[in-house]
Amino acid sequence: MSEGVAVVGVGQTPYKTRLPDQTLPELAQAAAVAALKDAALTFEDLDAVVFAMAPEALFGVAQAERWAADAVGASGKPLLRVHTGGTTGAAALHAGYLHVASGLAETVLVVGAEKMGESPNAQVALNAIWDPILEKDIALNAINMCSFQAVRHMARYGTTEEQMAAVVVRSRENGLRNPYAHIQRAVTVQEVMESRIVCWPLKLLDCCPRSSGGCAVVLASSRVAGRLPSPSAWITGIGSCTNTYFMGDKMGLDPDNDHGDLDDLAQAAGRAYEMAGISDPASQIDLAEIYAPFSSVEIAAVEALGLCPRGQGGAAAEVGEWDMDGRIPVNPSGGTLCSNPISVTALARAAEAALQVRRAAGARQVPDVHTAVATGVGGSVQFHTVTVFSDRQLGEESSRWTMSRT
Amino acid sequence: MKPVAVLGGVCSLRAPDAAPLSLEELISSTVMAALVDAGLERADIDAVAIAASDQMDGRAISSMVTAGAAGAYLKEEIKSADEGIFALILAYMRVAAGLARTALAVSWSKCTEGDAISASRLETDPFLTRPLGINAVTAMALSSAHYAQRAGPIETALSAVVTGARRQGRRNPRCPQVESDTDGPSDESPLVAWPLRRAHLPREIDGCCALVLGDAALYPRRPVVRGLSWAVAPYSIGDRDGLYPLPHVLRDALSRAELASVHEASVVELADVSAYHYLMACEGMGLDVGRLPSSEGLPAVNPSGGLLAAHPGFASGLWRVDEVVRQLRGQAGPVQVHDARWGVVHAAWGLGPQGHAVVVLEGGSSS
Repeated sequence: MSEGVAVVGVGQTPYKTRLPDQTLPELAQAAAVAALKDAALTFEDLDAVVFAMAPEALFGVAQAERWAADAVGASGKPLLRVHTGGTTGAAALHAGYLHVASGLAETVLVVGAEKMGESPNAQVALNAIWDPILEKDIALNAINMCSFQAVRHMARYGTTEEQMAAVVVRSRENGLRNPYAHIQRAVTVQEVMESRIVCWPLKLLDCCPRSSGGCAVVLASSRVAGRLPSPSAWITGIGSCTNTYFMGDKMGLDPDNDHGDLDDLAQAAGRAYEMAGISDPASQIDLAEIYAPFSSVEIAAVEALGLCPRGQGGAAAEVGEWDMDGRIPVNPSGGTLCSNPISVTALARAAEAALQVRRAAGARQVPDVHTAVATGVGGSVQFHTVTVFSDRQLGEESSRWTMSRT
Repeated sequence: MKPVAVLGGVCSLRAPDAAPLSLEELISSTVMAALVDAGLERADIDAVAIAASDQMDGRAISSMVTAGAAGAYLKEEIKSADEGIFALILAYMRVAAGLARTALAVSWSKCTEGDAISASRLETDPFLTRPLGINAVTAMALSSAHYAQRAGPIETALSAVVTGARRQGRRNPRCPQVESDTDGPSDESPLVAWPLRRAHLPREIDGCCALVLGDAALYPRRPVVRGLSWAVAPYSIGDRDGLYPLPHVLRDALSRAELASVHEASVVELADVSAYHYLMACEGMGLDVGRLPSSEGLPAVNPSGGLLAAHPGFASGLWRVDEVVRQLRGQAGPVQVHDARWGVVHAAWGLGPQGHAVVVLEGGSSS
């Protein structure tokens, strides 16, 4: 049986477009210090550090984790950098989980920072994720790849632009209660609908900002967590799924899995849920922090996570099922639509879910959260991560493969 | 430490005149060969761990296109944008945690398609280090000069290391035979960055390495990862002392493997990122600094020829592991070390280098 792993500390910096007075190592350090303080630990207590850093093209320093090694207490210790595009922060969390679960470490800092505000145009940099011969020239970027997903969902289920706007309205309202949120301004459905089209059906207010900032989480084994005064958010399930790079293979008449439905996210969720012993997510999950850089992504994601039936995500958003006082609050932090520091966005989703389980989310705290789920999405909407947090440690047999064999 | 078996693996090192392969072809053909070597199919793999460089691959998120070639389609997959040894570390952790029965570790570089030295300048901080012109070679030159000042006259030793590495590389059938203008005496080759001469530096080639790891209980009688550790030095080269923290990393890995000394190993494959660093790594690992690359001696050091014979960029750490696994399986061919039972791998990365990892493996006969 693998070791139990808990989040015992969380730290974030406020997210802004630009933070010119702090270097990337300084941002990561600020988040790390806050997380360690929250955990009542020091840098000396750490066995290892995992650094989350996504495309370096957004910032301009390659392998910046090496530059940041001293600032985050990693000098003389194991330091591992994870980069899986948008899912980087969650994949780093999973790597931190593996450090403890495998028995290699007892206390791990998962930390990262983003300074994409120093990029003149993030979408120009993100154009470099595509094939340099066939795809870059047609101006593919993160916005139009998600517009393909939105169009497919609309065509299949009748999802409307007004339903997507409802996602934005709720996220912006939630963001007002989050002191770290980059965008803190409420909007109406009408304002969203009247904002300029960026790539149909996505309008300006359907889109996330580009943010800079740092985020850190301290993970501990059950032995260490039991000695700490801070409450624990147990990681009871992790899952990921890597899909094909080629979006066209997910948009044919009979694809293995569908770009519009985020079937790959459903597979990642299935893996995490199996590990966490969740068989009916709609009744067993109390809260979701979903990495939705565009409003349409959240609508498909709540369906893929099993929080509502396929095709019902838009309607559920419109009637308030995901509101703070709804059936399952979604993104009480304001989510990615309020802050998107790409390297740590998925880590921030996990950090916010852990805060909710630890009842430490302040003004954005949702009552009675026992189980929360956090997601990440990256690449050509092809990388997906799911993490399940609980206020209780799993019982015996925490490994799905161990369970399969016995 | 929980034992994890190495079920098989292949390292494809490409000679410069080999038939060209796209990056995806290089990766997928290597992964398929590794699966064959392990006696498995892609469907048998639970997870994939990748270690590669966006700068070398030429894309901002290179795993978008390479993960599929590495066998990760609809599987659990994670990527470290760091030295290939991190693919092994991540795959090890997933199996040891009980979250996978099998995991692929894959790493690659197409060094011939990019300028790795220029790309390494982007690793430097833009305020203090980048304006100085520091890159991978000049950083190695600084640490080499520091070592040379302490070690005294070492030109003869450096030449012997280079000659030994080239000799072992020519004997190793897995090492591509690279014709070079640096085959003569190393102290006569052109100066690149004092005190490093061209002959002191590795031959960078294209390569991909894939290893298949698995639950040791499910796959007995295979070579087993017994010890594992890694750490980084301070970022500033001036704050470092020799190859710190290599001695600490080695001690930690040996302790996890319940070995008292590196001398209990039959074979050591160390990261000779330059001829100077071969000597520095020998010293840092407690080996006789006079020990040359060879299949003889206990332990034999770099019987493969090492990176001075062929350096597949980010895949170099996994290549070290693959060579030791072949030694433990008795399948190393002309460079086979007699009765190899324990092997130690050293990997290094970053400017100077900054990071070091050590992996301790035991042969499968007694596992």
